[in-house]
Amino acid sequence: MSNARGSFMKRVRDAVALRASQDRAPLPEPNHEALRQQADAPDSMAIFKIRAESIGFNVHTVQQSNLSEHIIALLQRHDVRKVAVAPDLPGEDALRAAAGDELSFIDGPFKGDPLFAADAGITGVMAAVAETGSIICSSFPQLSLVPPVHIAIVRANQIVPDFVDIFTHPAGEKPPTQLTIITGPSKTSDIEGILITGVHGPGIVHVCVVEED
Amino acid sequence: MSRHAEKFERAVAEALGNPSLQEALLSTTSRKMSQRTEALAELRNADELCDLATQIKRHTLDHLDRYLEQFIEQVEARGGQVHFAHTPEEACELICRIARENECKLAVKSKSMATEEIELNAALQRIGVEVVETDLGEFIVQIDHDRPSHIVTPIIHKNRREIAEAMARELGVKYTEDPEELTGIARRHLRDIFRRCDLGITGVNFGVAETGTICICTNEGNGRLTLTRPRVHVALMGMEKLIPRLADLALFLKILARSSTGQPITVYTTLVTGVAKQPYAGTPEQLHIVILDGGRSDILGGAYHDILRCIRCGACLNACPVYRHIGGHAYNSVYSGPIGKVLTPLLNEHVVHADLPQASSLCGLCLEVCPVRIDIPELLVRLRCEQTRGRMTGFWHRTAFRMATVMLKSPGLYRMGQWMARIALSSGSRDGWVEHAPQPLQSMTDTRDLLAPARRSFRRIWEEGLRDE
Repeated sequence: MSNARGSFMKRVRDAVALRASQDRAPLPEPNHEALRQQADAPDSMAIFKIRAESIGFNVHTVQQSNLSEHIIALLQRHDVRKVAVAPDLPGEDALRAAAGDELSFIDGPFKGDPLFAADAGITGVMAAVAETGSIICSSFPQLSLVPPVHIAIVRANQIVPDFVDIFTHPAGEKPPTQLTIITGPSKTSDIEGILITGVHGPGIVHVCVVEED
Repeated sequence: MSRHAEKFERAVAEALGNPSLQEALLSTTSRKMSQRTEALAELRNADELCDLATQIKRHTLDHLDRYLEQFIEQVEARGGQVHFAHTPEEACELICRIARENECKLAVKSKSMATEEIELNAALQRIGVEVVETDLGEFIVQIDHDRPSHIVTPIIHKNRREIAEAMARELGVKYTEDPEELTGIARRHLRDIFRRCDLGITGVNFGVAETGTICICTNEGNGRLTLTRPRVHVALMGMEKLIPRLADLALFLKILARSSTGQPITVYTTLVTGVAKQPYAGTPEQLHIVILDGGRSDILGGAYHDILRCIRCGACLNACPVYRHIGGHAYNSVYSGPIGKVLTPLLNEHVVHADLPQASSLCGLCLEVCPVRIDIPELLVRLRCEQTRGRMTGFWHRTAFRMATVMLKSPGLYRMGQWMARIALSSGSRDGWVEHAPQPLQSMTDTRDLLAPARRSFRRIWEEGLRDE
């Protein structure tokens, strides 16, 4: 143990010791039901879609068999020439096969500059939350961040009702190295309180909710 | 009057005399307050959640040694490095050393109050590391050589004309007042910086002891770019930022943004847990968490212990009638508003800013809006008390209160005081109001009218009423 740590911790211990033991607050038992805002209802998906729209995502309901066509149409709508697709996205091959010649794919490992030239990034999600309409991305963080357009593919069974369902992991399970809860397009209201989207992250986010055929 | 007090009075007068600042402050803070109310009302049980959050924070502080140990152990087990800074200077030295050892030349920073507290930018610049603020508001503050005036919305004091002028002057771009274009200019400028940067610096909103996770909340995406682009990440965390469990994060995320900006949750809420064994693209190779004491261990366990619960949502600033009129700069400290009035003198050992606790009407709105129920008015009274005992207040201030104490303790003197006040004030009163009072009350009527003393005092009425019965 380094000296700095030792003396730092000693100061904390001495300070905490000033609190009489009867004054010390107990740790409330985990009470997930008190925290829960969104009940585990069969319409989680419908609620997710409404909330996701209201925070500024463009939500699409897509059949699995149409997914590639739908994504290509979205890319065309935004005049996307260069796209980066997360390698762990199921159906990546199908997407490549369905793309025309005008679309070029930026290959991983997404280090350095090439990603900054991408017009759109396509990723899956780790989960989606009905409570706020958020999506949660953990792998390839730059794909949902650097290009101006982000397309996220959400499977129906990835939608959970409430944040409580995300954070109550079994003890000892390791959270991923990096995880981001994304709730709407990048935004600021720093200048005179006026809302502007697309500051550093994507200004346009499409969320495709995939229904099995 | 001390130099600091004079400076404070001057800054207050300046702020009150600036009509565009007054308008900006009032409109922004009013909007934030109503958005906050709406956002909290969306919760099924906002009060219950705030009580729970309060209890969890109280518990964590009461056992902070234990949770710090657990946090450190977890971060280290997952490949992160933890450093300890007793003073702001030590924190700067530590971070400069990390920059030097990794030969970093260009640092990007995501908005962090703790780094403002230790004046990190200047320290890094002294050793030749360029530091760029990437939050839009902080970026504008930086290029305009200004200071942030709100802990959440740093350029609340600036209008678009001032921003346009700063950008045109400092970045050599075409003059435009369009907020969208201004944002675009900043985005393009900072994109180039993000491409080249090699050191990322952030604060920490919450540290989770159970997993060694740090949580960083931003809206623009600059925080994420700061976390994903550079190879070295330094996170500066005040030691009070811990919460025990990952599940507690679900609770705090439900109330932080709602209380702060009226959003259900910030756009980007990123959780970083250690370093990837094989760093994949988009995660740094090194994670350094610098834990800052900076006066906090002196507060811990003492009379102002509760102030350490603060989660920096800024609601008390938006609610405070004093902040809403004088703005953040007048406080001349990193933390402004009600939280600043308590924290600043404590973190600076009362040496400076002894006048800040006086700048409050103790109306109690800050307590009402605080999501972790910090009784700021009570703490302000305690500070005033301590400062009076420590002779940190002015001679006349002390004398006036000493005289008041004597008078209020004696019915005879009190009666005489009333009688004198009636004589002194009656001559100048009109329609029940006194516009110009004689000394020593003159300064009171400079800014407001006094209610003229009633012809018959309450005591008289009471006595006569009893006699009638």
